[in-house]
Amino acid sequence: MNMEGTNGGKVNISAPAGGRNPGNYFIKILVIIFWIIVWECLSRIINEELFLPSFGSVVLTLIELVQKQEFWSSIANSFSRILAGFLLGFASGLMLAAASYKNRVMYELISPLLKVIKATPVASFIILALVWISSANLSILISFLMVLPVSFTNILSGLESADKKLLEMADVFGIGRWKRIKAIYFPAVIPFAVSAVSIGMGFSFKSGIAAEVIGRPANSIGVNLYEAKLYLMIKELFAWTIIIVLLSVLFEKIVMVAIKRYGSIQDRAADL
Amino acid sequence: MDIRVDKICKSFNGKKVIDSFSMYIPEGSITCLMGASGVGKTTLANIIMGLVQPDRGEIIGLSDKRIAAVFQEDRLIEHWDASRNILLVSKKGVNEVEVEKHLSEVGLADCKAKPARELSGGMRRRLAIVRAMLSDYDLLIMDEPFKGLDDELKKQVIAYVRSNLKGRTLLVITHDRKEAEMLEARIVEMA
Repeated sequence: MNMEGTNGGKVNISAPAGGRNPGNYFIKILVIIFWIIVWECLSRIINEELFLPSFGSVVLTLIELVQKQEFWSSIANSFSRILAGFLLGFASGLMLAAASYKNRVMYELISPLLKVIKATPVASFIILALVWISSANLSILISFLMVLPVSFTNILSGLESADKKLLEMADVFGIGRWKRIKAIYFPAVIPFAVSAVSIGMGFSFKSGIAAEVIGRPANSIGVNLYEAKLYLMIKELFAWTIIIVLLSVLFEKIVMVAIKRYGSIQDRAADL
Repeated sequence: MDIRVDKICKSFNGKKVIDSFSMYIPEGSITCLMGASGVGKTTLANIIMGLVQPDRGEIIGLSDKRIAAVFQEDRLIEHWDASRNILLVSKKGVNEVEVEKHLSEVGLADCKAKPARELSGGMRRRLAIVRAMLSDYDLLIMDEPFKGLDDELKKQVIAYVRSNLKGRTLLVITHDRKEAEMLEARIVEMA
């Protein structure tokens, strides 16, 4: 069973060497400035705001958007739905992975279904789901479906990577289920769970917004994107895209910090 | 109840590792299982612990026994400190004070709060021994428990093991006849 993503699934949840080094932040800022300059140059060469608006005009549009009440309610609506889908997908993947780890029949039963979900184009799901449920809940279902197989595969790989010798030790000493989870399974699963969050978060935002663009639930990011495209409001399209990327990155960071913090609490806990 | 190992046979990939081996472990005894490398001592220990199923034969007298073990490879939770490793398997009522007392008896007084991964080979061995001694057991199986300890430490740890056994059964796998003598153990040769 392979793990999703790159690096063989070994995601380092601690900062890489020098990761908190101010020099590194400086380099990152320089990289961002470099790409903004490239954007600006391209915009000036093309010289047509309809194809590629300038960075400055997109920022101005963004500032205008931020001042509107609907902007915040759109973000809150979309974010809460995508987050709900992500959390449901992650939790379901976790439970199905645990059940499949314990029971081979369960794995044989679930695995093909999740493979089909993984291979099916998002657009097929969105169109099909529109027949089943209201457009308001579409992004929840789509985010859920995108995160579920990633979460399942990664967490199952994490469980299977648990040290067999330690599990034998636990059998001999008769260590109970919760202590086993804390001592043996939790450290094995954490890097895989972090990878699942990282990949799943990107998937759920992309697919959730795509679902909103097609389903067009009222007062959502997807509807704003759709209208921007419909009325050729390219600056708005860029501004909303920047918002989506920022939200996705921000939420991923929040979840990563939460997992790291939970991991360190587990590490220190002595309440066995 | 005494333990009787009766005509145990075990093969791996068609290669016979144990061929109809029998032995007897009286309750409350210290027994050393000795023999050359590759005769199946660790495999037999694994069979007694229930980690490996024998092809033939049976072990009588184990059904109601709680087992503890010192494995050849320590098998500690690497990111947990010494104290927490012990408390993971310890019997009810064992507290930090008692853990500290036991650790100091084997020369690990300063290691209580150190993660297992930061301990040397000899320290890890002693930690694995204390962990087993403080667990709830009727039969303790130790596989090469004193490997890597110098003579002085070996003497100290053997004295610790003997004084904390309190009439329970101990099976030690070793190559070293001197260890068996220091433990004042019955010796069973496996050939």
